[in-house]
Amino acid sequence: MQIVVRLDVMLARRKMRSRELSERVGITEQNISLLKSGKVKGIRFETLARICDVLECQPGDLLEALPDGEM
Amino acid sequence: MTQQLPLATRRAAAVLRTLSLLAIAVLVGLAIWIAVDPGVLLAHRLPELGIDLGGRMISETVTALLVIGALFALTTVLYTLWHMARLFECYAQDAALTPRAAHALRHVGFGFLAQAAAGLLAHPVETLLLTAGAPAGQKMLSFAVSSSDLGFVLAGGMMMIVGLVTSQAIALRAENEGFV
Repeated sequence: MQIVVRLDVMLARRKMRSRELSERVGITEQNISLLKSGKVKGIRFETLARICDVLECQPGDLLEALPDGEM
Repeated sequence: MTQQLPLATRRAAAVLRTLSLLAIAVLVGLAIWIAVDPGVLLAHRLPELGIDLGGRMISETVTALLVIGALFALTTVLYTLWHMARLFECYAQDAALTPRAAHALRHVGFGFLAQAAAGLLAHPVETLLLTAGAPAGQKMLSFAVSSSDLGFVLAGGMMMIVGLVTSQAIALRAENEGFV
């Protein structure tokens, strides 16, 4: 099982750019980029809560569990 | 997130590194001196061990063994100083939480333990060698534990623990850096 980050989908739905999200959440654009590409080991609840707050969504809208090898 | 060591700390570490390297140079000079003129070693050790030769000559074999023992003891000090210099170099270069610093810390600890072991072994071996040729009744074997030996054991143990804790801290930081 793997966790896939669907942040790019939610950003597109909200018509928001990564830069704006990074400014409003208070983390670097580089970290947003890493998060979008799934190149992070984890996300703090604090960061997740702020992203959900800004994007007006639930954690389940951003994260999806998929069987290994399925993307 | 990168947190730098304060400049004063890095400068102090650089000074201590230089002092460690100077101490290494002095000890290498001392080792050469002892190897060239073993009389220096005997003149220093005999009063310290409380041994009076009473006009007896010490054989070349015994002298050579004493020199080898002294050089071994000096090697443990040099080993410790070398790793101390490496540790201070890491701190001077703002690389406190690195595997290299943790490795150096553990080896400094091991060096202190080796110095304690050398200190404990030196006394009985030296007294045995120096009195081996003495007449019956004057042969001697003594064992001594000094406060500095105990200090080296405690300091060595502490440094090894600090080294292991530093390794844990490095692993934690690496894990933490993967989180956003």
